[in-house]
Amino acid sequence: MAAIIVIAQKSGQPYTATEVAKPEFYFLSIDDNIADSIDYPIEISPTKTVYSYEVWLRFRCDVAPDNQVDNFKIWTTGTLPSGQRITINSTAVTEYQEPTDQKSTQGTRTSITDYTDSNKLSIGGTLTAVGDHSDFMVFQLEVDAGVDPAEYDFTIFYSYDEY
Amino acid sequence: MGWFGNQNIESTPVATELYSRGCKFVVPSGQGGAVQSISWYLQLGEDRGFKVALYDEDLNLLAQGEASLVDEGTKWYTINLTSHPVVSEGSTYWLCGFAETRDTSCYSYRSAGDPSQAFYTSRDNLSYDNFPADPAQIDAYNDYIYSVYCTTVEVEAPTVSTLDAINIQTTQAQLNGEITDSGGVDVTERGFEWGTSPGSYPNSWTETGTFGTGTFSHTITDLIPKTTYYFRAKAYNSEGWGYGSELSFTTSVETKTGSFNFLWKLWQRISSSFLFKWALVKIEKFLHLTSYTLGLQTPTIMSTTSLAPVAGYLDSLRLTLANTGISGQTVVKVQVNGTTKISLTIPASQTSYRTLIQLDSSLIRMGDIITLLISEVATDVNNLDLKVYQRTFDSKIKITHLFNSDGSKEYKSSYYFIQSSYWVAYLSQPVKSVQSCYLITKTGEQSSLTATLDSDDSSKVLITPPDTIVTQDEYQIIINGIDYSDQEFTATKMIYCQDSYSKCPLFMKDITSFMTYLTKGYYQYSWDETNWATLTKISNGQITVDPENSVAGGSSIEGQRTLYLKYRLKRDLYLEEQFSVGYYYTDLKIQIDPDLQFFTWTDFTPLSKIDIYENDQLVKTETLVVGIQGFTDLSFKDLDTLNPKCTLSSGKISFQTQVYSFDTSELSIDVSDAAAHLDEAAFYAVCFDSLDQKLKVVLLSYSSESILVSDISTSRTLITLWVFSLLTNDEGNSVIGFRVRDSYKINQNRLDLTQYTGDIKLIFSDLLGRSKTISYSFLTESLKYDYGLKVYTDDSRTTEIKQGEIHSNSNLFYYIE
Repeated sequence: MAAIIVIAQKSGQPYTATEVAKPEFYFLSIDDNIADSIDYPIEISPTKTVYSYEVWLRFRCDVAPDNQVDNFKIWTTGTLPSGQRITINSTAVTEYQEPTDQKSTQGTRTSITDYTDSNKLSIGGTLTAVGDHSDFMVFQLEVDAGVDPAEYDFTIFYSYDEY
Repeated sequence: MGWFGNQNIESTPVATELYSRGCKFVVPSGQGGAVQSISWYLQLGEDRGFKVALYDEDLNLLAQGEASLVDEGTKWYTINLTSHPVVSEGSTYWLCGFAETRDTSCYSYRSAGDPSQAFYTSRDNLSYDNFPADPAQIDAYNDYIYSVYCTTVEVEAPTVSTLDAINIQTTQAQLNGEITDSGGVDVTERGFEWGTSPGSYPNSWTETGTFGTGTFSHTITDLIPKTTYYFRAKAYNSEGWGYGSELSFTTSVETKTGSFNFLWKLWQRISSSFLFKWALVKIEKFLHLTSYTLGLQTPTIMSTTSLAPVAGYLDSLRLTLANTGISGQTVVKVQVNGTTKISLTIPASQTSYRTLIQLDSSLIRMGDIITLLISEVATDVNNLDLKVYQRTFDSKIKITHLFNSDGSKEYKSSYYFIQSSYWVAYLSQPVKSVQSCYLITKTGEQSSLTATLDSDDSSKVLITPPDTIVTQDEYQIIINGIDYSDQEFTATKMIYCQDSYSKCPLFMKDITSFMTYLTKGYYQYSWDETNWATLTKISNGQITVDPENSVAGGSSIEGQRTLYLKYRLKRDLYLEEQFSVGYYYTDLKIQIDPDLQFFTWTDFTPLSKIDIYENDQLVKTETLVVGIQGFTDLSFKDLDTLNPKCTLSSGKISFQTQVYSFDTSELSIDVSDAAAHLDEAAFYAVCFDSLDQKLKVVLLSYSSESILVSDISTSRTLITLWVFSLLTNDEGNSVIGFRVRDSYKINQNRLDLTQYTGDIKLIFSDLLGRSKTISYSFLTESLKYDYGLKVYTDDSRTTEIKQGEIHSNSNLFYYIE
């Protein structure tokens, strides 16, 4: 049976955190894995760079593969408007911490746009059973002062080997 | 390499296309092995086919071969055998040949020998195509020895090459191999073996048969994805297995791809502000500051008194003068900051003279110096009693305000309000949240206010007023909110609420209008009790007043003003109600004392005593009883207490009666309209059966749409219906409030006024069963207004009294005998 691998967002304090799998995730002004950006947009500062709350994602196995799933990679083909950046940890983050809206310190911070089809970012993890999950991908949106208020979206591609 | 047969070239040619020929030989020592070919010394004559066969001694066919030989003269021609049986040394084998028939003859060469060692078969018995012959077809044996021999080789295991795997997938791959040398004999098995470790092949596949050299392949399945397999080809002959070298391949994996999205919204904080002004507020009891006993002779300024600031904010200053016996004329002047605002002359010998001097907020402000100049010519100044009252208020309630969201628009109005618990700012659009709210004075002093969004309407901001507000000053409120529309929001209006927002009855709408919670009906309003305008918008019990339209004085409303309302219960009958606005009638003014101008019900508390004057004469002192006792003791002369809409505000009692008669022992009353407007927790209907003097009380609920009063003693009983609800007064005690409702219907017979000539009786009663019957002559009051009276009796009969048909002191009688 083919495996079912989902992407789940974990939020909340470590001992009460919840994890929700979904296809769309929001950069919000609160730490919440259910709310959407309509209710919790990010306020543009007139003077400084502001940050969304970190979005902690990871691949999770909901239906076990025949053997295993591994070799997770992510990349993007998109570009971000001037003054906005999405960062991600390029080094492994395995221990969950409560998301923050301060500048993320999780792993080595890199821009998601650094990772393209020819330079994919590997995410650690070997999933063999239900509940197994990969390392965390800690995303965060950075917004410089003076950018235009609007609604934005950004697509990130991923791949993994299943066998 | 070995051979057996005869390699000597014999001398006698014999045709070989006419006969198949054979002879047998013994394999010499050391010449055994796998036969490979048979060589025949021939004069071919022309190109032709030539077949050979190998038999054992018993003429069992072991191998055969055929070749298309090219004529190269007389020589040894070699024909390869298709199979390679092993011949053993010392054993005897037959070597046979047969040339294809052509135009010329093909000759073999022979010599004499043992006749048993050779045979021939004629073409008559055996065609070329049917060669090799069955031994039964042999024609005869002879003694020829032919020049023919068979080549043998030493038998070895097959030589195999392992070729690369192809079609490699996640769980299968095609293995390839090649037998490059069968080892001299036929290969009987071939296959592959494989495993996941080098040199270890736990898995094997073979096929059996007769195989020569050449490639072969096999697809292996059930492999593990992403795993390296090591394999080799193999082949087997009589000498054993031959193996190819080890090669490897790695099974593939299934790479799945997908994508996910991030979404976000950026917004900017929008700050908007609006400005408003206000002043005045709550009218409290007069404060008795002091009394003066004057004794100076006239006309001298006898006293200059500067009033000390008092707690709260000055609303007005009032003085009462009572001449208790002075003989001379007395002049009283009131100056504000040195300017005389009021001058009053008290006549001489007015022993019962009492008057009121009032400086309201249009004349005084906080900080003003109030000076009283009193001249006195009386012979006995001790008889002039002066009492000064300052009326203050607690702030927070406005009389004038200004909303100025964009600096270009300003409205002013004045109004009496009771102290408000909330301000409610109406924003131009819903906002997400309120970040902060500030109150800024004209001098730039800023203080934070508590402001929250209305949980039900995010375009309303509930603001908690500050503790101190200076009368008639200007303030600015800044509300910082979050809005997603990328547009500034502005404040469009502001209201002031009492107790709780949900019960707030009064809405100041752009200051040009207000709404109040009143019953359905037909309303008129006035700012001066002279010019009346009709309210055109009545919806869900709320009315909207636009004071700048159609009513004199409305466009220049400033300072403290009182709005008067009157309304009609039925279609054309207006009954006066001096403005009772809001659910809690905040400012009902009743003319009691000509000197005091008016009293406000808010001055009263339960059990307050009221001095009633008539023509300046104290008539009586009444104790106003508010509460469960209802109106049983309320009998002010000249008061419109008989008007069923008489209202007490401070006690939060409003009152309304509906008088109906019916001819039934059961009364059903439609209260659906009333129920739709209920705000209280309980709602009662009271029917008073005048015949048996029973008071029937029915408790309704919110959802009640009708009440059923049964057990009526007899028909033709005068039933008085009150509908009221429980309210809470300032002390938090429950009191009975009679609500104004005009839409109750009796399902059955309606009152036909034309049938009755007696006095209308109103019966006021309370829950203790006490009642009081009063003649009802509201038409007398209605004559104040230029409206006729139209009384609906039932669907088909209407009695209409038009304007002009009603004259003063007219009475409308209806009485149930």
